[in-house]
Amino acid sequence: MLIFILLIAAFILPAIFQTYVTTLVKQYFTNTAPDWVNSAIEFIYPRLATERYRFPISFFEEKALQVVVRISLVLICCAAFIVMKAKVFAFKTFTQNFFNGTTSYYQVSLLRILFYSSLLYFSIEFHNDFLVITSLKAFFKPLFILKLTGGGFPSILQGTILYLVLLLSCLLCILNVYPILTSVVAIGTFIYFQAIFFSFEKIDHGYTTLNYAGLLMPFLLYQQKRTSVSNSSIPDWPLQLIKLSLCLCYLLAGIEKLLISKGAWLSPVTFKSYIALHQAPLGMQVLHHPLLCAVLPVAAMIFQLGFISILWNEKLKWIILPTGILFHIGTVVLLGISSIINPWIFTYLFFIQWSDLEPLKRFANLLDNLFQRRKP
Amino acid sequence: MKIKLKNIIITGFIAALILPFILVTDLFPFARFGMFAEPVRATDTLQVFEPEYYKHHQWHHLDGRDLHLASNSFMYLARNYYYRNQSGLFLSRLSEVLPDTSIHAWRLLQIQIPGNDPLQADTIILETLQVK
Repeated sequence: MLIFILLIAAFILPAIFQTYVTTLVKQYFTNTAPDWVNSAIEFIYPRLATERYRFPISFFEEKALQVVVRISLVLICCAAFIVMKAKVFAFKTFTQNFFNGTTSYYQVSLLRILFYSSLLYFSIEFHNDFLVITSLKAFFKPLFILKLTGGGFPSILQGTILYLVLLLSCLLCILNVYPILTSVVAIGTFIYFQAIFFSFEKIDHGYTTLNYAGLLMPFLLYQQKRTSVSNSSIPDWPLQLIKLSLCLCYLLAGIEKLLISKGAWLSPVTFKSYIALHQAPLGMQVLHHPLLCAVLPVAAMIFQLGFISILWNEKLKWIILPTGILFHIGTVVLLGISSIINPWIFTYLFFIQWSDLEPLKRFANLLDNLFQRRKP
Repeated sequence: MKIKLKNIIITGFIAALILPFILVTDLFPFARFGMFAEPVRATDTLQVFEPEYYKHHQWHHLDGRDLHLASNSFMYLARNYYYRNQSGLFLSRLSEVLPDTSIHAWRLLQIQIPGNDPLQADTIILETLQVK
């Protein structure tokens, strides 16, 4: 019954779009749309205030069609998921076990130490960046998340205090001092600083995977806290959700490219244009090798769409993770974007079974107990 | 049927991850990965926005790096103000950010480079702001 409803909705939506939404989009651009339509569009798409003067209406009609196609796509995927779960035994077993497994106490401890050390490392420059951006606050245009908290641009004192809170909370979390509370504070302040930096009309996706992992880590630490005996197993659903989130980042990035470019992204001509636009020295060398220009975009797409297979077969991580490192290095050397020390690569740590290494286990044990009260 | 908190968190988080993809927009901290999705053609005209200031009887180019900002982020900002018909406001804010008394005027240039060929570049003065 549910499958039937999902499929009906997937096919009815484009028809509704053709009937109503196209007209509303046109009305919005000719300033004749009802107030609620204007408010809804400007709430969801703040960038339209700029983009509406930059592109013709047809550009936005196509984007609106994209929204409907994507809703239909997600509904069809949900229906396919339900069918596969009912009909394919191996898939049913996989989905049932996916969020119901366990992990070891020390694996969680080591992930905590490694993840919050990474967060600490990437936060170090935040204060400097904040001071720089303070001089540009005339251009500050707060993101919705900042409007929600009601805060404007923080003063230097407020920013400095928050920066110290961020560093201290990461440090305390590494040392297992009130790990749930400190992990929540760490990711809250980490995201807050990014929100400030991105309130200058440009959002960067460099820290996205760290954000996702950081939002879920407190749940994993809570599961660990509930387990008092060091050797017992811990429900691993937050860890599995972190892994799924990281895989979805790559998958959605790949699908996004295919949908927006309608397949043109795979063409060597598009790849060459990107390289010519960014003028990175090694990229300019690659321009002279047609075979590389044909193979590299296809390989990048296969990697992005295939990353999620790591969840199905864990052994694939020994191929996929090194490929991922090469993929990110490739964007640096061919397009001159981002840096070799990429936060996305750091989040691969969630796919490694660190507790198999005995010296690391002892190190985690040492840190875990460093500030714990001794029981009488 | 008992609905577990765990299932609510899992479903809610996956929905939050997918929503920016469906709506084709960032909902920070949840992201839509649209970078490099729009195909670029070699024949496209590249638009570059460059602010300049008049000091000591000549025009000086202002790069984002002079303000400790990535060049492309700064150009993106200038471009947004231009498309919102706020080039004057952009220059006025720039003069607030760099309150140099020896600067006499500001202007915003748009350089159009057809087919990525710098020899064909065409420069337009979009706005000039006299501060002295």
